[in-house]
Amino acid sequence: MGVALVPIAMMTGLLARVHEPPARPPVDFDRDIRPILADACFKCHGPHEEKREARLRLDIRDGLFAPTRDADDPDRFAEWPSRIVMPGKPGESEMARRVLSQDDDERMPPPDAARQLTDAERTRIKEWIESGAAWSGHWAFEPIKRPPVPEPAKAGGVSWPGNEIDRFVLAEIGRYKLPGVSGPSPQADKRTLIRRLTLDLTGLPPTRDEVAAFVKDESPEAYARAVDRLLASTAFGEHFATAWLDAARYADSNGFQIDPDRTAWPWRDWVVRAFNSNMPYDRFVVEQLAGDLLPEATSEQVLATAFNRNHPINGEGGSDKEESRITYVHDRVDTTSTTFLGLTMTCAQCHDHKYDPFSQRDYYQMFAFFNSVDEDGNGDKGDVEPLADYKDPSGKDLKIMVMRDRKERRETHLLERGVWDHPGERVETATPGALPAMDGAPQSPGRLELARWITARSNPLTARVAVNRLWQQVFGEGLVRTPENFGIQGERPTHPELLDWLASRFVESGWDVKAMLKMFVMSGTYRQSSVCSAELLATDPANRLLARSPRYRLTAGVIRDQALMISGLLVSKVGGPPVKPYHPAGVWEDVSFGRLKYQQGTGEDLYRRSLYTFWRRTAAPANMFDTPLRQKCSVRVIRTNTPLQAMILMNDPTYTEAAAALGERAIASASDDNTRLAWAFEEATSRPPQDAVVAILKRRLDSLRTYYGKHFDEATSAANAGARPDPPADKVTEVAAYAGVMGVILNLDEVLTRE
Amino acid sequence: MTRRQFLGRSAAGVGSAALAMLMASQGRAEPTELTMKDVAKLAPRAKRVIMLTQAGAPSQIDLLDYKPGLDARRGELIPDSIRMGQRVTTMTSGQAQKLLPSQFRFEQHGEHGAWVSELMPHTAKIVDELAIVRSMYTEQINHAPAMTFFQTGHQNPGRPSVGAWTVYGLGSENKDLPGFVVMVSKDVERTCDQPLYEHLWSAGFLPAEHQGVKLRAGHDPVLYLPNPEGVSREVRREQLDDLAQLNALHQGTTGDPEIQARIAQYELAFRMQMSVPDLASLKEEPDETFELYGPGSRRPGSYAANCIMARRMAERGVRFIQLYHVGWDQHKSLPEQLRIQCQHTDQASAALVTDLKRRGLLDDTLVVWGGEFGRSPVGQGDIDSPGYGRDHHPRCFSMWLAGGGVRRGIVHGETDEFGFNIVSGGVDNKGVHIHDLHATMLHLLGIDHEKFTYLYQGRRFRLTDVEGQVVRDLIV
Repeated sequence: MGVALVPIAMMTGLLARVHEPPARPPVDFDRDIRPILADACFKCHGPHEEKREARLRLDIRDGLFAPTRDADDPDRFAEWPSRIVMPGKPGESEMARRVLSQDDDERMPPPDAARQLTDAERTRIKEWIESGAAWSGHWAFEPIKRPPVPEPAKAGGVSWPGNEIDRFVLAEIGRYKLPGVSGPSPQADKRTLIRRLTLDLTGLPPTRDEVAAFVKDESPEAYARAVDRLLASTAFGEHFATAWLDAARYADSNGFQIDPDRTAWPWRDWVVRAFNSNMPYDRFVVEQLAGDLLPEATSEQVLATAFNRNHPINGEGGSDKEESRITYVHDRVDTTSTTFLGLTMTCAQCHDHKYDPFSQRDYYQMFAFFNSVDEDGNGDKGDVEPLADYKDPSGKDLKIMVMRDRKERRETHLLERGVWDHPGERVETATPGALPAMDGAPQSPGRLELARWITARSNPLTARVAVNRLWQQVFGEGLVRTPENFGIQGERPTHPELLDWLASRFVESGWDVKAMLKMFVMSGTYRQSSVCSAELLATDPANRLLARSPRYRLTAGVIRDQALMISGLLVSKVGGPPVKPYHPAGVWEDVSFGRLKYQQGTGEDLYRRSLYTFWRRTAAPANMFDTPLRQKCSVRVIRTNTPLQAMILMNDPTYTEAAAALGERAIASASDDNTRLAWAFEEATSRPPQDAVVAILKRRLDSLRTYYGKHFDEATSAANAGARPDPPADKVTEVAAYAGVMGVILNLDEVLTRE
Repeated sequence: MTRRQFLGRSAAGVGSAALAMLMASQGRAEPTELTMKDVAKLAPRAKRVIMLTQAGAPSQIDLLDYKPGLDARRGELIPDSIRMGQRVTTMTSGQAQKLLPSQFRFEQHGEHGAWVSELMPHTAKIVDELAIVRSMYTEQINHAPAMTFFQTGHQNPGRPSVGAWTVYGLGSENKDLPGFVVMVSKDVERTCDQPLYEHLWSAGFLPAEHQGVKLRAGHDPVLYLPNPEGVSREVRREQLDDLAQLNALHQGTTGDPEIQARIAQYELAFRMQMSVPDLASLKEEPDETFELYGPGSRRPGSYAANCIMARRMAERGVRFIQLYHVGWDQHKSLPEQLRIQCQHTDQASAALVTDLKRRGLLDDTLVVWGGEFGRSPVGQGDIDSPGYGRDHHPRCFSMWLAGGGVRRGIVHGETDEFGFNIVSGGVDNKGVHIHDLHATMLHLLGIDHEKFTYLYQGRRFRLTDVEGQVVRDLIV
């Protein structure tokens, strides 16, 4: 069959008839059946005890294979079918009878349920029972075993420059044999590659010299050398810290009504240092959760625990202190379980989890670990107890909110329906029963033991969750595309064996973050081109097979940092108190009715990297689109496309100033327009433009020159954009005309995009 | 990627769906989202919503919930049998809980004699258009969680607002304006404010394009809207032409249809530079408009001016128009402050209903007036001085709805003689919870609130969580 036929076949919906569907793999309970049951049945027949109907539980093995109870009298057992699932015999299985029934009174789910089964799902359930009804646990809760790396021969004989990752990826491509996906995409050209690598690892574009050196270096080690150089740069830690700040709901103010400022930035700098010094991930976790409890804890280790004081603090008049305090404890459970374990424990705050095997009791046992902080729930001032003294690098004394427990632990009670003043049974600290128990833990373990349990080799989640998030940072999406949920309702990994292989490797390497990232970017998978044929796009629009490199818009922070760098304005000073760059007038005043005023910074403060921008929790920086508000923990990437983003990138003084400054640099770079325009284009994209592109830019430059020649006032405004020194009066028209063209370049899709 | 984005990517639709099915059959389930076909199964009565949110909690006992029986009990302690353990805030938990009747005069208005306080003379004139609900309730007792609940169906920040859900479900009717617009007003004098947070109009976990766009008062209604100084509309047009041309050139190389989407958003931004100022310019409104909406309507950013804006947006097909007016938190000086609040809002709220009606827009525009909870029939502070106030009260409060399929001229639900507990109204006389209000609003828009879900973190979320019942008595 000819390739050209494929799109037509797809548009007419003939796909299934034209292409032989790939051989179906045998039914796998965890992969094929549990997701159906979880979505359609667990609501009434799952872990949530109060909502459970007919005393039937399908989320556990014993429940699935239990004797059938009488529908009218659940105390008695039915005579036929005798089991919910009878392996090998759908005819003797109540489940098959119910899901296949045509009778509205018998059929499950009942006809009025919002979620109904599809025919394919019913068939799949029947097939599973027929094939012997093998049961297996939810993948993410099973121990991590290192799977064998697929043999190169099985990978379709494609020669690839990479490592073990590629063999897993090739094996998947080979397994599906989808139309239009015969193998991986070719390697990206060197300029695209060095730009991608530099943006992914440092959040900044490469300099012209770095691009040139890489293009020129034809030795086989050139790429690895570039990787090592970038992983060793300070910008690396700044970039990776940024995503962690979102996860850790970092902000420079308390939030809520009063929203007073707080001094949290020394913790932010701790994160940058941790990434730059390649702190092993297990230490990174332990120090943030329980650094204060380590033997002879250093002030840095105590500082690390500010992680769990980053939550909003309520100072609303009339609110109950204890209610506020309990809200903070809930936040810590949520943040800790989401960021480190990929679990949506919050769902068990008010009732047993509806899908995952976590009871409300499990939740409050976790809650107990964070319930003894020596705090009182008051919050109308900035920093609140417990505080630690911290000397900033310039020797100044600061008070930082950190974790410190009271001498006597608070009693923890389960809260009925999650309501703060409805205590139920008393609980002690303990980890969820469905996960491996703590090894050799004391009777009532504390936060340090919890941190050790999270980073224990036997914990099935921590390494998978961490590797997945690192993968997400360089591949745009995780292998598990719900990074916040590794539970039963989360998505399964696109490459389960690869994830487990990487996770076990990560643990064995001593949780070496930079080594893991190096492995990712050294793979052929990473180095593929993102150019995508219509065929491949139609077949695999979400790029689940990884048969090409993803192509996606950079984050608002990276776009800003890039514009500052290209225009020569960036100040690469690391760390220190937050700064206040350009921000629209009146935004803070609006949210606070005039109480809070934005005092824009001057000089260097306008040009620092975006992670140093002051983060007001009630009014996040207005030009940081698609960024979490930092009200709560967030590990998911948001990527949308709205007109407000276009307005920011064309009208924010950040960008108009960058355009003017880049224009001045272009003018200084050469003596003729075409060379200057090509130079500027290359600054922004890391590649020289085609002649047609230069021609378009030159035509615009000429028309703007004429326009601004006639409109000197407008020229002056455009050329003098921002707070940088104004160009001399005789250069104004020229700078304004260039600024107009540079504005176009800075907004090119390929400049805003990681290709 | 959501299914909507997933299927929305160019002509790849059918092939994508085919792959999704193929992969789903092999355990790689694509998250499925409802399409509009699934959502809009009910006949819609309303096409758009104007929500007049009165932030801070208007004192229903002084405005819409007439309780003459309290007069005889002035100063008595509220019986425990009535209070039934109801929380108060720490502002009044230490003081005696003395009953305090309203000092304002109530009269009956309209065809069926709805009681309305003298503080709302204009609302009184339109009661035949309204469904006054005296049986609202919520669980939250502090402003931030209660307002968050009122706007998003949950007390903690992070869920999508009712406006975001609405535009996510129904899309926009105007290609030059956002589908969900927010405006905040504050009066100038002496009342007490509660802050409003961006999360109240955020898209939560829904795609961010559904978030509310906040219009600010004055000549710069949307952040970053105007061109920078030195860039004329002519220059900008030329820049965008080049940008489109260069991006299209690059799309030829990369094959990524997202580039086309980016070009479209730059063009929409360009159109909004005209459509938003046009919307916000009240210059073309005749004097008669300003007379109708009352004093203050000529001042940009006032509640009255925002009500005129709301009508202009309704005319232009904006789907969800969200006004907030702050200052209703009368813990003290209630007699003076409440009068001021009403002077700033009563005429304009009534004028908006009248104006929509005479323009034929009321039939398919749902208007909702109310705050995040109510105020207590118990006084706060010295009830014998004009400095008295009232504490928060979540167990009953009043709202009104109009237009968009709402029954005209009714009062729904009653409270007990103390004005403390609900005795009737709502489904099975349980009162009308915020979830029930949301369910009813979605119903009027043609959306079944139980089926309108969004898969996030592996759970199908609803605006109404796992609760909410449509209050059919409120519907025509």
